[in-house]
Amino acid sequence: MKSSTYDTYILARVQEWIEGTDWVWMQDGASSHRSKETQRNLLRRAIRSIRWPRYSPDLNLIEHVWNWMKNYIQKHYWQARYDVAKVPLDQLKAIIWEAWTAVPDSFIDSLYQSWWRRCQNVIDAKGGADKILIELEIASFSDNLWT
Amino acid sequence: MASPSPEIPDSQDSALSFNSSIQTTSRDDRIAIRTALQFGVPLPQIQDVLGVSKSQIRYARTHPLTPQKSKRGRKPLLRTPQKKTLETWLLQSPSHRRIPYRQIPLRLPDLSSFRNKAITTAMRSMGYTRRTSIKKGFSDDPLVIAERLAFAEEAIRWDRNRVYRQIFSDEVWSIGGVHTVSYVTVKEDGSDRYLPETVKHKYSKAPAWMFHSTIVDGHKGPAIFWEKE
Repeated sequence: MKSSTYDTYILARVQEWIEGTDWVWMQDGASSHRSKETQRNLLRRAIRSIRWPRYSPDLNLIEHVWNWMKNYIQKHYWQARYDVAKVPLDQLKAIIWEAWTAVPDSFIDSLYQSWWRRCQNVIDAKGGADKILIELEIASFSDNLWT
Repeated sequence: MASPSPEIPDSQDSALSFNSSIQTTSRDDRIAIRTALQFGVPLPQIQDVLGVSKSQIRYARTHPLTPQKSKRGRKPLLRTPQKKTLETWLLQSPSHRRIPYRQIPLRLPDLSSFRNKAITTAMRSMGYTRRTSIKKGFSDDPLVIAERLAFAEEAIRWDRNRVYRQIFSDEVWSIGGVHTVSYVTVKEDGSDRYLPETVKHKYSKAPAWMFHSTIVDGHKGPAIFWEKE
């Protein structure tokens, strides 16, 4: 994704969304996020952001939401799993949206409550790959559903 | 007076002596025969010294040293030109390495009349096999490790209010398909196991949706789709 696309599609909406709140934005180390253009756009849009450590999907709680959604789709839509060619792109979009809608708030809240444990895991692993990171890698990066 | 016992011809003896003269040759015998033939040793001398017959010498000269059992059975259905076509197609794109053997005839018109078994046999004869796709590795860069550790040591001290103020965001490409183990076609000897096209593959040309979403304060935040450029 280009930095300009990121700004148009994401940062512009984030600016509106977080206006009047004290929420803090984060973004992973994707090239479009690291670029100077994006850094300038964050400043221009007055989006308060935090420097996120590289290669740390285990600390990004939303990564666990992806896994929840993938499991939901595989459970409810076998065709999306085994016969991708027969699932039109529009239907795929609807399926993903359904999965996103189905994610319970209690699950997201439990992820927030796990924050300190996840930090402790990284400290215990001395900054290296902890068990959660390995599980995430296996679950997230091996697939065709999400890349 | 006891009558002399009738003389019974010792057929077993003659049989033994007959059998002993036609002992089969071992691999070492056949190597010795071939060596002697290469050095131009006359046939009678080979027969005398090695104790073999003319037909055994002829057999050793014209046959492989050991039985070629692997050459038995039905011949592979895919011949060399078709195997070349298959290998060329396989190496054309990283995505071709991900396609299961059973789907190859559907995607390669030249091989549409063949089935899974024929493709598997051809692939194996060219040294290819299916292996689980290796995942992108973790970073062992000391700077990254230090960065992660420093962040975790700071972030573990965040209070509840600070954590719930933190927005978590990410985007994914969705193109359909399984999200469990995926396989890739690679050389059996492992020579291409760690090439970029076998380790990590981006579906850059596949039609897809980009899905970006956020969570904050223990709830779902805004999410957005857009079609891949």
